[in-house]
Amino acid sequence: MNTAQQPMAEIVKETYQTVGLPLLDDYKMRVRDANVFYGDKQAIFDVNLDIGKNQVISMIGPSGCGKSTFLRCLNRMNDTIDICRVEGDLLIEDQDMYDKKIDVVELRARVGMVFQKPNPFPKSIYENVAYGARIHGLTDNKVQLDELVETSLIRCGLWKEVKDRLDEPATGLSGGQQQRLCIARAIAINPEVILMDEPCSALDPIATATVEELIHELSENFTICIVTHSMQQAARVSQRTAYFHLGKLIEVNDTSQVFTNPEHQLTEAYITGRIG
Amino acid sequence: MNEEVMVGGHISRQFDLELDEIRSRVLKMGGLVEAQLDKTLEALRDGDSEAIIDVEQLDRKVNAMEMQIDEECTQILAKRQPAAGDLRMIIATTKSVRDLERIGDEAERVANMVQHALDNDASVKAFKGLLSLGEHVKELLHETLNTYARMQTRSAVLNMRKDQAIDEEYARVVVRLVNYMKKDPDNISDALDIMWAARSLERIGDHCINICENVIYLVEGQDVRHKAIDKISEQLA
Repeated sequence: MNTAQQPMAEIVKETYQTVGLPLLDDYKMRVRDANVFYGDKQAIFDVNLDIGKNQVISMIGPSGCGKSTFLRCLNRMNDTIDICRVEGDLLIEDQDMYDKKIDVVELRARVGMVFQKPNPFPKSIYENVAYGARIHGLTDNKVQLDELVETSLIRCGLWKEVKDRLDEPATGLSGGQQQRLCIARAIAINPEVILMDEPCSALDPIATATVEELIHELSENFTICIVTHSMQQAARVSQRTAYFHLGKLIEVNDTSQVFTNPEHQLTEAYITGRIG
Repeated sequence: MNEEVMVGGHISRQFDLELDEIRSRVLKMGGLVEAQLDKTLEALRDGDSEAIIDVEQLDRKVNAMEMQIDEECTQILAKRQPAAGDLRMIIATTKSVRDLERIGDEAERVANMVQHALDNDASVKAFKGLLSLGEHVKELLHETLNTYARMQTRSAVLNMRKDQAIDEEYARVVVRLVNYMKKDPDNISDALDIMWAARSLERIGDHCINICENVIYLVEGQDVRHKAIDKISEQLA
């Protein structure tokens, strides 16, 4: 147990290498020496991390630690920010995600994203799920598209709730239902990885539990990276946990270890509520 | 995020206070259990009925403290959802207070054996043969409480070695009592009481070691139960 009084910045400075097990043999994504800058300001420092296939990894850390910035690097969402520069090797399987030849739209179909606030399109429930599949040409006819919408909604546990009102506006659904619809929309195009940026922070505890259950079920077929401010959520849904602090990846370990016996004193300090 | 923030106590000072409160309550409970064992040894030495009454009264206080500390730990689990070191502290505490309460029960059992002898006009002199074992157990309990107070894993291991010596001493007491019973079958009943009392003292040593294991779990996050002492020593080095 650490009770020593030491400035955090000093401890972070002393941390030259991520502790724990950041690297894996069976990886879906591989990140090496990732550095991210917003103009002159560096937001991420030398991150090395493998994201395991069909695993849930959660990214935790205090506000401003770089966890969301890092998550957005994984499907090039940072491209939309002009002053943002990403350096290093970021691979999905063995393909360089930042290769100039890569089609970003296609990459984002492989690496879907679910945001903090549910953001359904101002269209019907059906159209929300069908939209991506249609623009990516995943189905040949209406029957196939109907089937895909149904399967996606079933997988998100939403089918029974919405099957009789598929033509109604998605914005009429409750917050939890909207978030599950966004997940259904993401999985309809059959991505390999789903990135979730605080997916439950706008939801009540019951809707949160439903989404967490969904994450658990989806992890059988998808690789999931989740950024969360709720440590209990990280403990509940993920197999591995990565702790970020001041732009550095401090520790990556099995979630069961991180929440009972973390290796790094900063991880301990954060999860026990000594820093925030 | 303020980079100059120090890593120290919890952001919630109330949580720090709650944990400190539990820590000091465990030590207070330990003090009561120590007093119980003291009085038990007094009863062994002097056949003193007053001391036996004190042991019983202390046991009621110890039981009440066990329930109170458990309730406080439950409240912390419910309200704070502790993790890492804090979680280990709560787990180790609920386990340790159970051991302390059982130490109290064992001390009371020994005192009751002495009372039984007094009630039957049997000689309590023979109980004096357990004084050496009792003193060693008392010393181990004292060291165990120090280990808990200071959260020292090294002294936890030293205590484990002391308990080994206590186990050996207990084995010698048993051999002596068996020989006595063979020689004097008429007094088997009295000798059995002494044997049970010796057994209780030896059990107190075992409970002390459980507490020491809890301290190691709390400090290092390592579960060292059912492991050889040398192995534990190696693991902690």
